[in-house]
Amino acid sequence: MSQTFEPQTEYKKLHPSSPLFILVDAIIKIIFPLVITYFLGGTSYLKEGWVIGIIAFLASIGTVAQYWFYHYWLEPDRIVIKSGIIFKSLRQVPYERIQNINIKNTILHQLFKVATVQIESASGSKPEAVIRVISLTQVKELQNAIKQKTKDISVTKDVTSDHLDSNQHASLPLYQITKADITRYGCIHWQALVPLAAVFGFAMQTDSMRERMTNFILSMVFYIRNYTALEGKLLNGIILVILLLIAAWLVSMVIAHLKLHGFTLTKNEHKLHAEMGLLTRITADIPIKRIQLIRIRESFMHRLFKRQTLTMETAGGVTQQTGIVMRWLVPLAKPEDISPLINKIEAKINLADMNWQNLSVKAWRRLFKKTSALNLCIIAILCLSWTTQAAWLLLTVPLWYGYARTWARHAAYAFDDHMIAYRSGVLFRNTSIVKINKIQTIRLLESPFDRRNHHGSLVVDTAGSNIALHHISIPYLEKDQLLKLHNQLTHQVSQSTFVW
Amino acid sequence: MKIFERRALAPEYRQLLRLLTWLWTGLITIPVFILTYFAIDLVWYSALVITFCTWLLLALLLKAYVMAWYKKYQYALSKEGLIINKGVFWQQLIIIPRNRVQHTDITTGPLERRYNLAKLVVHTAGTRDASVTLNGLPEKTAADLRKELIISIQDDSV
Repeated sequence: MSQTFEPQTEYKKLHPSSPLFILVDAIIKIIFPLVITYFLGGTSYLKEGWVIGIIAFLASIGTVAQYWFYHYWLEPDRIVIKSGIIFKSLRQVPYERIQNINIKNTILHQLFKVATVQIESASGSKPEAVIRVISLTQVKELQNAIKQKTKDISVTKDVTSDHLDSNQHASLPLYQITKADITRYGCIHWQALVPLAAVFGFAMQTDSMRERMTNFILSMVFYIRNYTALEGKLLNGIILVILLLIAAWLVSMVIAHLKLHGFTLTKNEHKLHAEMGLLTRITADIPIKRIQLIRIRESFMHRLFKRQTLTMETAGGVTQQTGIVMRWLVPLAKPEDISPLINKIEAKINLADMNWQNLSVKAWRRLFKKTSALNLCIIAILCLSWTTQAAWLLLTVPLWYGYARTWARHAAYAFDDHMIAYRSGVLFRNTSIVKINKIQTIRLLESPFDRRNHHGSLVVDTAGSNIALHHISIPYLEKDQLLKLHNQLTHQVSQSTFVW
Repeated sequence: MKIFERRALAPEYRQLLRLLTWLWTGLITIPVFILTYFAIDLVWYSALVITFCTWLLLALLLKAYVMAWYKKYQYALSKEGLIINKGVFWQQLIIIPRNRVQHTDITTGPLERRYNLAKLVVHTAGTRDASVTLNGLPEKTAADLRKELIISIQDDSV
């Protein structure tokens, strides 16, 4: 191999406890699902226990080999990672291309004084590198190397007044979650319902499991009857559901506390540093200029507790399934605290002074027509294929009307020289904010219905955006309003430079 | 920096589209013949007539749509960037600012080569518009556009 395949500085190995962590990961990803299917008897070909034994054995050999062949070294401008047993790979990631560094630290990690480090660049849906695991001193070294490099760049690139005064409030926490807010977060998000629903959905897969599930639920109902001394399956069933929900609610709060314990967001010159977790500690470093989109979320539950959530999107497309993610800027805060916080992160974004403009006055009528048409279709299909009783659903027409009215009243957009923002939603209200220099393309859309009403919509695309979530896509705009907005945006975007 | 006003796709692309319309609808009529001749057991000539009529009808409908699509399809290069305007019923106007172009590809298929056409794919860092394709360009225009869009990339300092 050529010279470049050899380290220019001394190379570093993983921590000796590393195979253990790789194995744990493999168990969670491969062996655990296998064991579950084995016990549930879902698939017959796994009836023999030794199949799992062999897989486990191969996995443990694999982990040791992986550990043996994994090296990395820090060059002045990049990190180089060499890995692979049969298919060798050499990966070079320049420090300035690194989007985020996320560090995970579970109890097991703490026992060995190590951490899992994930390096994310802007490309792909997988992290650029997951170093599993290195000692805490090595982590510090890595962080320092990256910090040093990015500092050099920021100093040479822009010596602004902004840079000078940011030193004064360096590493002062921007936001710290309170215990009460974590509890509220648990109440709002009901995270325990997700695994519950998953178990339920899984149990409905085969007939035998469905039967077992029904029997289990029935026995629970009878069990409850012993305590309540009430007759009637329905009544006891309702009590069971209520009990389950209370349990899920309590568990949700516990999960929230485990996950968000001590969430702190710190601004350190041009970087954000977030930390959270009780048993599993996750640390994330995000350069502020890498933030592509900021989103304020507010569900009806949020409104009940008078709180809002602030999340962000960075250019890397890593999801919960492919790696460690940090999407929060603020898990929960009072609505009046949100805009000062955004302002502190991005000095040029000032939501408080924004001039929000409504969509077309006809917007509610068009939305009402659209939802009516859709709902009528659904009701018609239900009536024809199931029961004519479905026609009773027509009584919900006032709800559709109310929905359209509320939606149109709340939906609005705002823009100035530095950003564009759009808010919408009824039960789940979202506000998306994108800086002008993060806009990639601008799209105007016009459906046949738009043409009739002289309307149009405007969609803005950013890097690393999640297609399923709220983004800047403003419908029902009057034509002249739309064209004005479009011309201005196009001009501004072409004037500004996109930096990853 | 080169600029040009809105222009239509190459006239050769219209011919290509017409050819493709006949070809594709022709393929679709095969199951129609199978259905009428083998499944419903019609006499061979009535089966053929039905198939032919379906073909004609489908092809004319599709041709009308494709021609409308071709007529609506316009592109331009402004000071700001590449502009594409397309769509028959649902119309859209996309702007790819010059300084947001990451890289460009030119691809040509065998049929396109016969007509001296090329397809330009413009890649951005975005998500939904990660790549925007511009079909049916004359080869020279595609090369020019590509050159123009690449020059502007070198202007900006990332």
